[in-house]
Amino acid sequence: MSSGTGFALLVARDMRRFTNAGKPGRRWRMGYGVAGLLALIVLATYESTQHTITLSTIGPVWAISYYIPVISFGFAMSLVLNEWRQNTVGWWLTLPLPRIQLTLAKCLAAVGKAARVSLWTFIAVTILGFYTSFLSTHSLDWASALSFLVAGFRWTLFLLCLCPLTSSLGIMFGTIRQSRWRPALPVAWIAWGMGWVVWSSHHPHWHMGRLIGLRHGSMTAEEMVHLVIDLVASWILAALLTWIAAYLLERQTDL
Amino acid sequence: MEERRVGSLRFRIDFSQPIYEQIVQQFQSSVVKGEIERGTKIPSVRELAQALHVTPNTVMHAYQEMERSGLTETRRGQGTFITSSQEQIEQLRSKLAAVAVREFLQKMNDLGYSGQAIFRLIQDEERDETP
Amino acid sequence: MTPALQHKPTFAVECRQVSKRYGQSQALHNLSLSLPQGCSIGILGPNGSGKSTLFRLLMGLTQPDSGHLAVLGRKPSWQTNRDIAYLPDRARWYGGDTVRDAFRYAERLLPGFSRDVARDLADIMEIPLDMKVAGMSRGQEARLMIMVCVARDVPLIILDEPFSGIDLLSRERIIDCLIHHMSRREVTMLVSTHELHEAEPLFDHAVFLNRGELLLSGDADELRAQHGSLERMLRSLYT
Repeated sequence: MSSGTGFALLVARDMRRFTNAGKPGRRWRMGYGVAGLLALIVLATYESTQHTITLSTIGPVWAISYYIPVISFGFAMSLVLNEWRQNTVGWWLTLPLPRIQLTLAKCLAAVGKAARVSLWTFIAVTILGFYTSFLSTHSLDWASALSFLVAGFRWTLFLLCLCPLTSSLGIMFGTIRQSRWRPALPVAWIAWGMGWVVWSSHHPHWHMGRLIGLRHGSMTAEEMVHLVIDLVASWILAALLTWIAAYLLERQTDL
Repeated sequence: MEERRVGSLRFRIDFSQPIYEQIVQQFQSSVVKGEIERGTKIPSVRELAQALHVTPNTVMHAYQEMERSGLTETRRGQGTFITSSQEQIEQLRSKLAAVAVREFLQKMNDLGYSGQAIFRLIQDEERDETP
Repeated sequence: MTPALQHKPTFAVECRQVSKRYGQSQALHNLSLSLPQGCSIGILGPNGSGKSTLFRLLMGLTQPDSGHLAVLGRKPSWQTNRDIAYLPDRARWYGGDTVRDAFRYAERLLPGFSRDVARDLADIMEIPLDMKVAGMSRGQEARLMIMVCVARDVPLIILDEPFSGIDLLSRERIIDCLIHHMSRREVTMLVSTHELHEAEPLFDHAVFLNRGELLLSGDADELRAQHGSLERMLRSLYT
């Protein structure tokens, strides 16, 4: 038995884990999901008969994926909190693995879940986009279809690259809630919010339009380098946050 | 308190008394009564523990006690056997008898009988039993 | 002491003057204990007597405020947990798992776990391998969790309240399973309970705790010779 295979299993199990497994609520949620999808199809069909919709004009529709980093935060936090809620924390925290592996596995699982959601979102938006534009113009323009897909792919990839940071934040907030540092939770939220405002005001190149490569034109090489540096920095920050969460689990959790 | 059977052996375990002592006593009385023959193999520690639902350490303690007193002997690689020596068993019988007599006398003393009076009572009792 | 002996400590658990406080309540107060190896030890006392806190300290789930603590001769940490099978109190198993999933988890993550032994136990305990945890009764789930612990070849097993809140049949099965395990290999077993019932013959050694302090500890049969059954002691000590 190597700890590597154990770690991989932890990630895989948490990726598979649904918070509402086996509960009646799951059926309701699936029902709502199907109803929402139907409403979307009806709306898309209606819009496509009222306006002329082409793939080159509906690029901004990819903005819908904005929720992916947010949802990865939620995944991560609930993966941590569920150990307490479902009374499995005793098993989790007594695993003979370093705490950093426990928090890292949860963080990766949250990113994995976010990646899965991104994939489904990408497929859904693609199908819906092709469907409406075809219905509206009765033809498919392959060139604009390709640029639509490339734009979506770039945007989704960018959002996914943000997920390690948001997931590690979720892990950290989850562990703070269960630790002796719980009273510091509001401070952590405020610090995070202010940090984000200050940081984003200095980084205008993180603009969706430019990232997608629409309207404002493509990014310059210099901007691209900046973006990559920013992302790498966010991953380092994510590693740090995961490490802090591991420290909290080891030293500051009163069970 | 329930009775548990292990092969031809019967055990009653009372949790208000030391468990190992009860195991020893019940082996002793079975041997003296002739319920277990000389030289018979007795269950392994593991078997008896599982059958009696007590810990192996308790059974081990009882077996050590029995070995020390000469009631059993361990043959290497074969297990534990009741002693094959009749002499040992007779010794045990007289030891148990001595204990029984001592307990009886203690009770009679508590009731206010002693010496000749006790002896007379025993004779009376025996006459009644044999018509 | 020779180096070889240092590797095999005489005591499974040693506490010296251990105190632990949660907010206003003193969970353990200057507890000093030495628990022998190779036997089964009952940690007895009513709820709130510090049994679970002691176990959590041994598993490194929390740290003592003061005092010295050693498990298998070492300071508790995730590394010592390799050698300990631990059933947390009021624990549940992951609802989405089948028995088979739980065994896979244990095989990969818990050192010493044997899937073959676990399968045999599942047979004895009458738990089908395909059964989903979410569909189990409380007693069946308890049996599964005991199997995850007992199917491990480790020197120390710690079970926190394994009998509470489950049906009589499951209790008896679990006790049989533990006795079976003890007679198979040399192991130290720490079991906490606040009610003895059928568990009475399970213990070689008994430790009575009350409000975080040690009341009494000793060889179970010696205690019986002096005070009668452990269950009677449990009732009379705390009333």
